[in-house]
Amino acid sequence: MNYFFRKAGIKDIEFISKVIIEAEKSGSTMIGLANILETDESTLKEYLIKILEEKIDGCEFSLSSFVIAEYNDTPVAAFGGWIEGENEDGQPSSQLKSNLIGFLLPKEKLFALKNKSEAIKGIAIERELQTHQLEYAFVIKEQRGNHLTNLIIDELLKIAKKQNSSIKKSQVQVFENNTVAVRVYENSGYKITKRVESKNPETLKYFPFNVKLLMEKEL
Amino acid sequence: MEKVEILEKVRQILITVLKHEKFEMRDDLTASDVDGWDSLTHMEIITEIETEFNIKFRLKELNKLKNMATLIELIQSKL
Amino acid sequence: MVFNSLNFAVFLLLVFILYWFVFKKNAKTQNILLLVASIVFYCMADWKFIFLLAASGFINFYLAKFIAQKKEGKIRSLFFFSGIILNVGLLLYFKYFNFFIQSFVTLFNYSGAGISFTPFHILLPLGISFFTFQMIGYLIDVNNDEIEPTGDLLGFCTYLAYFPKILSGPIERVQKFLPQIQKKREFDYGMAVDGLREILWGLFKKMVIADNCAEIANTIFNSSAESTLYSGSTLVLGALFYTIQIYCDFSGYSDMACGISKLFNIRIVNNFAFPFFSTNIRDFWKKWHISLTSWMMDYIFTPLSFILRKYKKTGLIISILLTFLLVGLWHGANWTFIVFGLLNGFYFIPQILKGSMNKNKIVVKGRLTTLLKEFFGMFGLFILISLTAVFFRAENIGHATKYFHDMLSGLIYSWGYVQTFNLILSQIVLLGVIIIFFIIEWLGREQEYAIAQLGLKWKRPLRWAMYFAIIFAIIFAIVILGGKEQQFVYFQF
Repeated sequence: MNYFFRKAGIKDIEFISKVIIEAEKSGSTMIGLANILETDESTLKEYLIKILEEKIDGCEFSLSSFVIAEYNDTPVAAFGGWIEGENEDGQPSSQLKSNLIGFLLPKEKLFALKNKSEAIKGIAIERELQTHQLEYAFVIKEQRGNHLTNLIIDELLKIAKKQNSSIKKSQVQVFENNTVAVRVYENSGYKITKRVESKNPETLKYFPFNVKLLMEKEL
Repeated sequence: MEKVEILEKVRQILITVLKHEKFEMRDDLTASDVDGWDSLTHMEIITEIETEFNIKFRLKELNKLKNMATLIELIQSKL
Repeated sequence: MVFNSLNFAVFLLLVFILYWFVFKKNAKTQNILLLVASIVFYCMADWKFIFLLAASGFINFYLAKFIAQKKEGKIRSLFFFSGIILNVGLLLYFKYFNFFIQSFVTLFNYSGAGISFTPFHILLPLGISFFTFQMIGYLIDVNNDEIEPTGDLLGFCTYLAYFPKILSGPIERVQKFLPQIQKKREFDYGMAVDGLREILWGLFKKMVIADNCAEIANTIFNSSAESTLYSGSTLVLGALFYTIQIYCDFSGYSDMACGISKLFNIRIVNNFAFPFFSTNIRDFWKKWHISLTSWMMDYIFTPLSFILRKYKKTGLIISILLTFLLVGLWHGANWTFIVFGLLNGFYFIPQILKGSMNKNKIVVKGRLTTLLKEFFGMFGLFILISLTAVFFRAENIGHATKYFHDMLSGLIYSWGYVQTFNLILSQIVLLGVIIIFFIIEWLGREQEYAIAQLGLKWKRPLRWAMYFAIIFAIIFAIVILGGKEQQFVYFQF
């Protein structure tokens, strides 16, 4: 299979917004982000496009985090990766993410988030500083089964090593019921190191599952 | 506005949002030092500050905030 | 050396044999041969500027490395912008120097001053528009961290000088080309045959259709500059024939370039994907001179429209107009090209206002018959493009405006200039050939080139008969034209 890998650029903003939404579904029909922001898919897409256009580096909403795989000159897959804490302002990605949401989205959305903070925190795993983070993998249906995600992970790790050779760990978070994804990460050498089950019954209202796994790989 | 006044207003906002007073308004205070001050409540605090002081922050400015000192500085620069 | 010459055929055969039989040891030896052959090829076309080409290669190669070594900052920007200015400056000097000065002088003279300007005698290095664009794209991609600069000087120079594309493109991207030549190429019989078929088809387009259309178009255009010999309808025909000429000429060249490259098991981008079967302007430009349009979209339109995104549709309109102004200007230092570009840009406005810039439409995929609506869409688009083609062909703005004026004022429907029966006959025959040609193109519109799949499933004798028919048509065309060989239109860029 002849894939071509490159970093995402501004012409890929729409594609990446689709990648994020599909990745959020995590094999279900629920879009976690849409639920907690109390919005529908198409509005969420608009929000994501606005967010990506800001070109803030260092979090899961960074255009520059994404590596795109092309087949026959068409983007067919993408995955995001960054080094936690290594960005222009040295901020953790959660802060950058929440600044983006708070700044760009209508004020009511902040309150929507606040009301669900317990449900969100129940499933949240903090990202370790100075580690590599993976987030938002997506492959179009026709290209699945070709280990494309693993190839992209290789590219992402190459980029990370180049950015900071002293990074020792790469982490990825995945819902426990997404067995397909878990297997993919295991194939790239990631092992489950933590399991977080939400005690909050509201979590299942918004997220595809209430148990999240943390998987790690030594670099 | 005097720095003292700004500090006091910010302190009140923090108490309102975080629903406790378990913190000191020192220069090197960061979110991680305070119970309940996470990235979500941070945005709430920022919104309240904008309303209270009638100012508007830019995204890049928000990303540069490191601690209480930088926050106060930023507010002062906008008044 | 033109692709459709005996010299080139001999050259190609020689390189082919050396490549697969003598220099076949590994990727490096293969590339060395290609590089040397390409240098020879370029020198035979224009030896004076081989040093310019070499310098361009070396400078950009090392500049890219310097850029990537430095983290974002002043030094990196310095290297980057120096590189861009160097490449653009080169192009501006060789191609546009006289044009800019002349335009200034003309502007100045409107205020009464009587300055005269004798244009400098600046020779145009062949292929300069193509290779400088490749270098600029490379530097931008490296600066944006989209690609790593290559450390393979031999590979890079081979890429730059590669003879199938050095003279008239396509504008190939480093990241698509380099990986192919860094591996040893094994002979692929299927690919080589495919290449030969593509070359054959390109030759057919160029020699049978383009050159014959050129005969007619030249007669009409050349005379219309000075006099008003022909009726309006003839002028319309002239524009239509010219449009077909330019399509068959350039797409024929592109087919040949692709096919030649396939003989060496290297894929390069095909510049055309049946543009005249599009029903809207955006589709058209996605399928016409693809490597140039995609270059312009990636490096000019996308960043520009991003910067202007606050202005929504207005921003898009400004971006597209500027982009196409550059597309026009790229073709040559003449106001006619600028008008050509701008007109095409204006054609986009309805689509932008409707908000359908990003919709992709496949032309009646799979079905052999087309709805009447689609057909009229294609026909309408063809007319629109032909209008801009008048500017493309005209010597200057005055010529173009006169052409339109004469076209609109002559309402007689006659074959105006045609004096003899033979000429009428040859025109009708040509029209017949063109119709058959477009039918073949239509049937093959989902392939890389029209006859890519044609005849592959037939019995061998029948397939060979098809080859002979095409070769015969080409030879027939050569005989008919009797040596009045037309230069490839895109050689002048």
